[in-house]
Amino acid sequence: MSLFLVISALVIVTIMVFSSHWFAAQNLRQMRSLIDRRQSSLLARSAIACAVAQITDQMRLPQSGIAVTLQNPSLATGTSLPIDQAPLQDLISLSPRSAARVAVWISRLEPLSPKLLGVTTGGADEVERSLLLHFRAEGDCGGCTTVIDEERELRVLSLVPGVLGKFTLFVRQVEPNPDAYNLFANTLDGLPDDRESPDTWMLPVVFSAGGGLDRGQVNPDQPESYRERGYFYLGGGRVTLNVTAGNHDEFGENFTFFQLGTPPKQPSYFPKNPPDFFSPPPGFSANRHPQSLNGADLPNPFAFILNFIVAGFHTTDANGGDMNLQDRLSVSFPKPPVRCDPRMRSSVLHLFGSRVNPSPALVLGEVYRRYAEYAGVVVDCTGNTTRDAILGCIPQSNDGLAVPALFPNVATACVSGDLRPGTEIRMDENWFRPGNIFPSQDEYRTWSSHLKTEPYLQAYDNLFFSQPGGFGAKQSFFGGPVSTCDLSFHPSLARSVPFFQNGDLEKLPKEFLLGKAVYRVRDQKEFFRLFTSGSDGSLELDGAVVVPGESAGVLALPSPGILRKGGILIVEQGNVRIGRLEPGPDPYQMLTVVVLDGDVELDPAQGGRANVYLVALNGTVRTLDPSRPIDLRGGMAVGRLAPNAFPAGGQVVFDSAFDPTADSMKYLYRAHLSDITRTLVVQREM
Amino acid sequence: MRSPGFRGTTLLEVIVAVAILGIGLLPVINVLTTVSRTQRLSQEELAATCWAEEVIEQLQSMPFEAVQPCTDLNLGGIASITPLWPAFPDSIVITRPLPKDMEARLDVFLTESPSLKWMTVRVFWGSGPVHNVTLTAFTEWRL
Repeated sequence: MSLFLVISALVIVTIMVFSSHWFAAQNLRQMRSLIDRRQSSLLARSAIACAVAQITDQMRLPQSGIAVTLQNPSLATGTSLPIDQAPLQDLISLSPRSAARVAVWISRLEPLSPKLLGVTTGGADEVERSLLLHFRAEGDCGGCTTVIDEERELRVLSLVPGVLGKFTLFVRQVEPNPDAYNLFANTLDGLPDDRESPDTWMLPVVFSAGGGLDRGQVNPDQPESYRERGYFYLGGGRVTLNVTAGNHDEFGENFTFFQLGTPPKQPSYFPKNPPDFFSPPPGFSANRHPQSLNGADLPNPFAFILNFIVAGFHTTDANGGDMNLQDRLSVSFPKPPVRCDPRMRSSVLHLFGSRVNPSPALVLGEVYRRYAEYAGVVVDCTGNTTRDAILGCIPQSNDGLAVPALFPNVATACVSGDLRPGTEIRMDENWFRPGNIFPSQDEYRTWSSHLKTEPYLQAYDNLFFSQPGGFGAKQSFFGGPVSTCDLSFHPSLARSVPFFQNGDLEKLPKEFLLGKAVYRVRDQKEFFRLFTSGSDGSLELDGAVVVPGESAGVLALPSPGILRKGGILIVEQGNVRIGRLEPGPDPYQMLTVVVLDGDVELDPAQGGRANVYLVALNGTVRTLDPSRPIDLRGGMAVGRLAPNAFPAGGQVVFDSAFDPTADSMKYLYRAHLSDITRTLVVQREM
Repeated sequence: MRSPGFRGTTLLEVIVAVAILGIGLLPVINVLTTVSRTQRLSQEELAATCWAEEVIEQLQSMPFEAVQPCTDLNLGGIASITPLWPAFPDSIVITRPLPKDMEARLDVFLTESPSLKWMTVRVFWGSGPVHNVTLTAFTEWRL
């Protein structure tokens, strides 16, 4: 009996215990399942992180599958991105019985700035787009599968300011007075004129349009040498820039009239030393005539040569109203001519660099250059083309052949000739009549001294692309045909950058670059905390960052600063101050500063260069220290530019990395994924 | 009052019954012990998993630069507000205290991608056989 009771009790206890065990096992399995679910969820999320990282990384590698896909202008909805699953295999190697995979495809696609894509502005880059990416990630662990479907916006953006980055200098609206920029008082040699009052002293800003320039190897039909150069646009109105005369290395602009790629003497090509003062004009038919000689110490016969000189812009009065050097020009000058030392006022914008660093580029808009060409008669006693004496300049005249005598028949040997300076040279009596030198009145007009005003575009013709039918205009850069700024691009330029053609850049809204924003900070304090480093003034953007408006505030970038990661800084209101900003080790990290309602202040006090592209389409760029020259590498696009903005002059060097037509452009697209996601998570157990 | 036929339970019978009960209960006790240990272990695993996941989530939300490569970094004192990496003030992880007798280690590895780091959090406990939970995940660069 008792045994029966014991066994019964034992059975009951056993049943209870094993029930308990079963429940415990169930509990354990649930716990394990919970853990597996968490691990599978982690794996799925890691798979998405892996895909995001690949998209971010590969956009920096133009040859990568993802970059090729996303930079394809004909990209369509539904296209899958090639995501490498190998990193996920490494991840799951630590977790037995687990697996992970991810797929990404495009579920929506639209231009970033639809309003800007029209032909009215021509400012939008069609590679820059907003995409909705669909991520599907699966993580398996111990039979538990987590599937995450996530949608995130992806913006494909370039780190440069689009079409504006093509310009060394872009001014939407210039001063209404066409002569407003002719404020540089200089001498015949191109030196600053020390007779100028210190209050009005102005030095020129010398622009260098970037790109390499091999003086000996330039091929006029080689568009590549022209390609990565920053253009100039000085508004739609008329601007006349007086060319600075002389052979000064830094300021003289005579070099713009000589061709590249030709023998150094005829015509000269940017010689360090001044070109031959009177070099033979090509095609002139009556340039040499034998004379009998009455000086016993001179060879007989000798010759005179009619030659040509380009001497720039001259004025003999302080306000620049008289351009008649030595009374040789006859257009619109005061009578009687003012007798004084020649003075000049030439442009404070030197668009073609300097003699030692010439830099041809395209100048768009109704921009003219003005200069005087002086023709002279020289004496060559020995026939070796050496100038032994200068008889004088040939005056401008519509009726030049009627002039009885141009010069007396006696000249004095000059320095650097074959004769002793001061030696008297006597030639045939009454011979120097225009009719003896010029075959016709037209020839006289062509070769006599005169003042020229011509479109600045012709200057690049002289430097590079003068061949008719060669590298020339076929399509208008701007909306309609404008006689002086018709311009088109060589097919090799246009092929990969269709957005760059056509459109009216004057219609670019000031918010043009705001659509690129991927991060908006609350205030300046947050900007400095997130994107700068206090220790060495490093800037690290890697995207377009918007700083909200502070109308009275000035956002001063670290100076000296170092650009570690480039990007676009967009300031909505207030000014931005930039001092010295050095580039980081990566040549493709550039900074663009955009001020929507305000100005850019350059602070040259610390010396050194600011490596930045400046955009202030509703404002201007000015210097905080008028006594110091500015030094900018990048470019500037402004709404207006005061002629006296930079009294001490300076230099602006175009950085071709900003050029949207440059080969380097493909390195500058970035993929930015939104933090805001729409996520659906499904978990299931097998 | 006892019934006429009842003769009582002998001592021997009691001893045999107790012996049988005892022998029968031995596996039961063993099972109970196992159940108890398994339940404790699963609770510990869950606690460790939750804790490790919490750490990983906080690491994933840190600035990318603040998550520094490391091996076997002791996370024992993680409940304090001391940054994990003193050079990066943002590298603070605040979680519930690690359960008693547990230790945690963190490994962070760079990957081939500059925008991706690989993190492993290992939590282990037990004086005899050492139990552990290992969670691995990626964290990616964000602006």
